Amino acid sequence: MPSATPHITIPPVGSNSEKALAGWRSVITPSIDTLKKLAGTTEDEFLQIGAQMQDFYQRSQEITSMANRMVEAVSGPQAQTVVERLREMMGNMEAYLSSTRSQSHENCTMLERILELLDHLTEPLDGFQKMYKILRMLSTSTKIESSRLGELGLGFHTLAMDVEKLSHMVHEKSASIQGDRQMLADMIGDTLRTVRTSEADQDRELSTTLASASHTLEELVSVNDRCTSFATMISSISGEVSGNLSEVVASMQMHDMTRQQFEHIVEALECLAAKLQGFSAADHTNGDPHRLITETGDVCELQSAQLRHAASELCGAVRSIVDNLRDMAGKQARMTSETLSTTGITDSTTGGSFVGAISDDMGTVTAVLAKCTLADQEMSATLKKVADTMQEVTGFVTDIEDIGLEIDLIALNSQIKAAHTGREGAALGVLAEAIKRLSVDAVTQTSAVSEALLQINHVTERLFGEASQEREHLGAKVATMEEETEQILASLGTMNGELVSLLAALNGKVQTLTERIEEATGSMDAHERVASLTDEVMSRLDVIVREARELEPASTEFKDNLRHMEERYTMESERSIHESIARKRGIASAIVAPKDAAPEVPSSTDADSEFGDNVDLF
Amino acid sequence: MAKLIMTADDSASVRQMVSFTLKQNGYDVLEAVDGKDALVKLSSQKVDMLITDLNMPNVDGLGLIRGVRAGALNKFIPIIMLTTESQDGKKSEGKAAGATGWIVKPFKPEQLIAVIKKVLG
Repeated sequence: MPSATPHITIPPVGSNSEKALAGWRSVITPSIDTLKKLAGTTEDEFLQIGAQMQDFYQRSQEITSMANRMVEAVSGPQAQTVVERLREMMGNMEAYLSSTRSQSHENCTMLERILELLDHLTEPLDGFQKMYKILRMLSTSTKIESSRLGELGLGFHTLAMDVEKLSHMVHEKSASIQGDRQMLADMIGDTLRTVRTSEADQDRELSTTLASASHTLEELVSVNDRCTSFATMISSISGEVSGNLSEVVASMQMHDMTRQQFEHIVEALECLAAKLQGFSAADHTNGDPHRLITETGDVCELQSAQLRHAASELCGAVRSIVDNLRDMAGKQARMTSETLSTTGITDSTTGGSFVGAISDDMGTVTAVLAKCTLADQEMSATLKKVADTMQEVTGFVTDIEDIGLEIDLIALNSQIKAAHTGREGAALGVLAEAIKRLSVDAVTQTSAVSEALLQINHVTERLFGEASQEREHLGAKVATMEEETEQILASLGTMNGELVSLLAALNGKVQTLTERIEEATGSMDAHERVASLTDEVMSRLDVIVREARELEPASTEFKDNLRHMEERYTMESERSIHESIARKRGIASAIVAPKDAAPEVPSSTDADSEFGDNVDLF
Repeated sequence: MAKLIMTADDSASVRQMVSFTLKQNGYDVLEAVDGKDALVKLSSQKVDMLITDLNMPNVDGLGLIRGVRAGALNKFIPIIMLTTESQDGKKSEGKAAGATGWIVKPFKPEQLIAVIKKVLG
C-alpha cells in the first residue's frame, strides 16, 4: 500500500541518516545474539517434556486399562456367573423357607391334634380313678364280710386281697398315664409356643435379609447394565485422551518449526547487519543510503512480523501442551471417579462396595439358615421325645387291658365262691355282682384309654416318620445351600478383593499422573522466556522501522529489497506473512501463488485425502 | 516381529515425537541425526521404511533419498518426507528423487500411523 505519510527529506549523508544507520547496526547485532540464544536454549526443555509425555501416556494407558478391568470385574463373565448363582440361591432360599414353613405348619397341626387326643384321655383316666375307689371299697367290704363268715369266708379274704391289689394297680397305671399325658401336653404346648415365636423371628430376619440381598443383587444387575454402556464411555474418554496426546505431539513439533523461523530471521538480520556494516558514509560505494534505509525498514518490519508470528506459534504450542496435558489428567480423574461410581464403589477409604454389602447379606442369610437348621433339630428332638414317651405309654395299654381281664376274673371267681357259700354268702354274692359290673366298666374305660393311646401313637409315629423324611430332605438342601453360599461368598470375596486392589491402584495412578502433569506443566516456562526475549527484539526492530520510515517512507522497493528472502522460506506461514506485508505496499507478490497456478504435483489420489491436507502420497 | 523404521531429522525433539508415535504403535525405531548419519546406518542395516526431514545438515533429505535408492540394501523401501516445506515444487523434487509420500509438519500421530500402514501394506 503506498504510504500516505508526507515524504520526509533525508538529511545529507553523514548527519542523521549516518547516525541512524550506525545506531541500527548496534541494535541489530545484540538482537541477533538474543535470537540465536533463543533458538538453542529451548530444545532441552522440549525434550524433557517429550520424555515426560511418554511417561504420562504410559500411565494414562494403565489407568484406562485398570478402569476397564474394574468394569470387567463387576460386569464380566465371572460377575455374570455370580449374579446367576445368586439369583438361583435366592430362589432356593425362598423355596427352602416356604418348605420349612409348610413342614412346620404340618408339624404344629399334628401336635395340636395330639393335644386334642391327649385331652380325650382325661375322661377314661378319671373313670379309672373312680374304679380305684370302688375297688378299695369292695376290697374293704369283702374283708368285713369274710371276717363275719369266719371259717366259711376264708376264700373271700384272698379275694379281698386280690381286689385291693388290683385297686393299687389301677391307681398306679392310671396315675402314670395321667402323668405322662400331662408331661406330653406341657411339652407339646411349650414346643408350639417356641416354634411359633422363633418362626416369626426367623421369618422376619430371613425376609429382611433376603430383601436386602435381593436389593443388592438388583444393584449388581444394575451395575452390570451401566457398565455395559460405561465401557463405551471409557473407550470414548480414552479416544479423547489420545486426541489430547495427538495435540501435544503436534505442538511439540512447533519447537522445531519456530526454531527454523528464528534461524530464518537471524539470517535475514545478519544479512542486513552486514549491509549496514559495509556501508561507508564517506564514499557511498557500498550502496545508496536512501535505499539502505528503506531496506532496513522493510527487513525489520518483515522480521518483526515473522518473529511475532513465530513467538506466538511457540507460545500457543506450549499453552496447547499445558492445556492438553492438564485436560488429559482431568479426563483420567473424571473417568476414575465415574468408574468408581458406575461400578458401585464409592467409599475410597475402605474400598466398600455393593459387593461387600452383598457378601454381608449372604453371611447373614447363612446365619439365619443355621438358625433354621437348629430350630429344625430342636423340633426333631421334641418329636422324638413325644414318640418315645408315646412308646412308653403304649406299654401301659397292655397293662390296662390286663387290669380289665383281671377284674373280670376276680368277678367270676367271687361269683363262684359266693355260690359255694350258699345262703350264708349272699352278701358276698352282692359284692361279686358289683365286681362283675365294675369289670364291665373297666373294659369300657380300658378300651377308651387304649383307643386314645393308639390314636396318639399312630399320629405320633406318622408325624415322626414324615418329619424325619422331610427333615432329611431339607437338611440336604440346607447343606447344599450352605456349600453354594460359601462358594458364592468366596467368588464375591475374590471380586471384592480385586476391586479394592484395583481401586487403590487406580486412585494411586491418577493421583501420581495428576501430580506429575501438574509438576511438569507448572515448571514449563519456555514460552514466557521466549515471549520476553522476542518482545525485546521486536521492540528494537519496531523502533528501527519507525525511525527508518521517518527517514524514508515505505515504498514498492520492498519487493526488490526482500526478494532474496523468498528462497529461505520453508513454511507456508512465512510466505503468508511476507505476502501480507507486500500487499500493504501495493505489491502483488508471487511468493504465494494461487493454487491453480501451482506446479502440478503428480501425486495425491482422492483416497489420500483421508490422511489430511498436509499429506501427499505419490 | 516388529517392523523397523528409520527417522532422520536434525531436530532431536522431532525425532523424539516420531519415535514415540512409532513405538506406541508397535514399531521399532532407528534414529539418524542427518542425511549422512542415515546413509551410514542404512548401508549396513535393513529397515522397512524411512521417514526423513528435507532440510538437514551434511546430506539433506533429497540427497538421502537418492543415496538410498542408489544403494542395494534398502533400495525399494517406502520413503516419506516429513518436513515443514509445503511447496509443490519441492514435492515434485522429492517425488523425482524417489520419495513415496510427503507429510508437512506438524504431523498428528494417527495421521503418521495411517500413512505408514498404507505404504507398508
